Amino acid sequence: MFEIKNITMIYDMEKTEKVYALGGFDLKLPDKGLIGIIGPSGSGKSTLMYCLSTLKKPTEGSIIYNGKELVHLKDGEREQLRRHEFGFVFQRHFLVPYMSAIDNVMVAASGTQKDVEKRAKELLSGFGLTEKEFSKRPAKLSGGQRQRTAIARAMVNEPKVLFADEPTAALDHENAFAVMNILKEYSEEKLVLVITHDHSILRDADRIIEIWDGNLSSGKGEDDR
Amino acid sequence: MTQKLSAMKYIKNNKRRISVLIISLMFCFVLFYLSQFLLYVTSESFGDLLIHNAEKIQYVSLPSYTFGLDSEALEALGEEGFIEQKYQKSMELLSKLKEQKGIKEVYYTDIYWIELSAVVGQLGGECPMIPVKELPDFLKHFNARIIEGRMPEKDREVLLDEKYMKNNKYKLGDSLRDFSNTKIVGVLESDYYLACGALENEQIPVYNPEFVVLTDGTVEDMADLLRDIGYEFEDNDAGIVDIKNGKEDLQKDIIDTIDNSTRVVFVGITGIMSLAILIVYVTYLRDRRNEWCLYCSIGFSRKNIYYAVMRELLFTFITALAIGGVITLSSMVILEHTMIGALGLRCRYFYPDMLFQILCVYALIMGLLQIPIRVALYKIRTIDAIDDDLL
Repeated sequence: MFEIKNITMIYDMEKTEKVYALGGFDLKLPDKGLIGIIGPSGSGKSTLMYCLSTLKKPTEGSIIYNGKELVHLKDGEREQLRRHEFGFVFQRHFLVPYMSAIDNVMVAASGTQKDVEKRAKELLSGFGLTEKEFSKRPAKLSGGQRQRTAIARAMVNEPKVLFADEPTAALDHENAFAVMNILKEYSEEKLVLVITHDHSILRDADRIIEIWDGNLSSGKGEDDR
Repeated sequence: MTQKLSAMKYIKNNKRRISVLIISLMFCFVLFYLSQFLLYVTSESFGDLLIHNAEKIQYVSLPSYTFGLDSEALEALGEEGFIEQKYQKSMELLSKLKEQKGIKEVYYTDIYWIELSAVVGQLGGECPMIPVKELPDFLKHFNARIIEGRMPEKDREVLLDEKYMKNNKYKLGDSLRDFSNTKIVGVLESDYYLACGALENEQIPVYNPEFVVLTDGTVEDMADLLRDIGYEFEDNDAGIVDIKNGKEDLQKDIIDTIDNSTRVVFVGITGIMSLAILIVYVTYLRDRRNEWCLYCSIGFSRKNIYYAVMRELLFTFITALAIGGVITLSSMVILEHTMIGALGLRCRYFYPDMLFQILCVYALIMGLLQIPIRVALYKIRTIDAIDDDLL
């Protein structure tokens, strides 16, 4: 699904001491499966996710997604891709504070109001939220419920790729594994990229990619490199 | 089908904020329209007296020199002879006037005054003394009827329209203010600010004779008509109440004055309210940075967000306009029944110019709000940029 060649991301281009967030590596990612991208803070794993999801443009290199070069896409095409083919779970849940849980899920959805509402309810129910909790605002939900709502929002359009940046960072172990189970289940049909620095949550990952100082280090399934 | 960003979700979930905007805009509407309505009660009522009345009745008082009588004549004839001479000439004028097209009747008579007080200012209306035997025809000319009291029979007995009665809070049996020799004996119902008294005998010759001219509504410029039949005078020396002068007086003394006042109120309130709404709206926008940042990150364009915000604003403005309209209309109805009607004054509900001005103010505020919206949209960053800042 993704074919990445010589991906390089340099911050502070105008300064003499340039920061290489991504050091120019190649990588291939399959159409489905749970892929963990692991590394310490500042290693470049979030930058990689942002480049793959079109939020950032790499300084050099190429990212081919389903045969399409992402680097040269126009803004509108990138937006369409993020809206219809990609889903996002951010480190902070970024739920809209004045909306109920179900409205937060529906805000990203495409389709008729009736279908969208049905799908949002199914997702939230599947993630363990009760009907009563559907109408609660984020401030009235627990940390786990908020994160599960954010995952439901990311999944409501059934994206081909789900990007999850530290999806369990704010959760206790029980909630963290519950979230990972949801992502694992979704990865049976689609591609799920999980960015984390916590090895323990990636026990069910199909592949783990380790990043260190902007370069690939080692990992489970590295034969795909 | 692609889901649009919903404007209603923000409106439903932020009722207090939206209410503040709606109330502010509605307040502008009600204040602008009601102040116009109340101030224009004066122009409507005075306009009725100055123009509508002049379509049926006009007054003429000419200087002595028009009749060929000057200070030398006064010296030569003495006061009594001068007045007699002027009376003779006046009777000639009266006869000539009666022959003119559009003139139904002319009386040489005495005229009293009655006040009409509006929301702003006062105006004096005429109360001519009409020969007793002519009074029924005089009332018929105005399609007026007595609804209380009786027809005047003696000198200085007076009939007043019910609007005058209410405006001056007169009762039957009262005297006209400043004319203690008069007595109100009946109340009239008519479409005019009508007042008249009775003259038992013929009017005695006076130094400054006045004519009451009943017209059919076609005589607009009495000065022109008088000049056409050979009477020359300077406009400033003559006292003429006709449609032309009525229109000029209404525009110059009343409408222009009211318009200046309303303009000051209008500009002042527009400035203050626009600034207040702008400040409030900017604080609302600040709270939406993360929300818009999320929308952009998950694939909505700035245009999508802008359209959603514009739909929110349109809903707010249209609701304010509708509620403002209902409140204003109800207030006008209540004011007409409790205050304006009780004072015998006239009013009008529909002011298209004011409605247009209010719409312009709304457009101005909407335009001003584009500045913070555009700035906020320009400042939207995707979540990766926020993360970069946190590093």
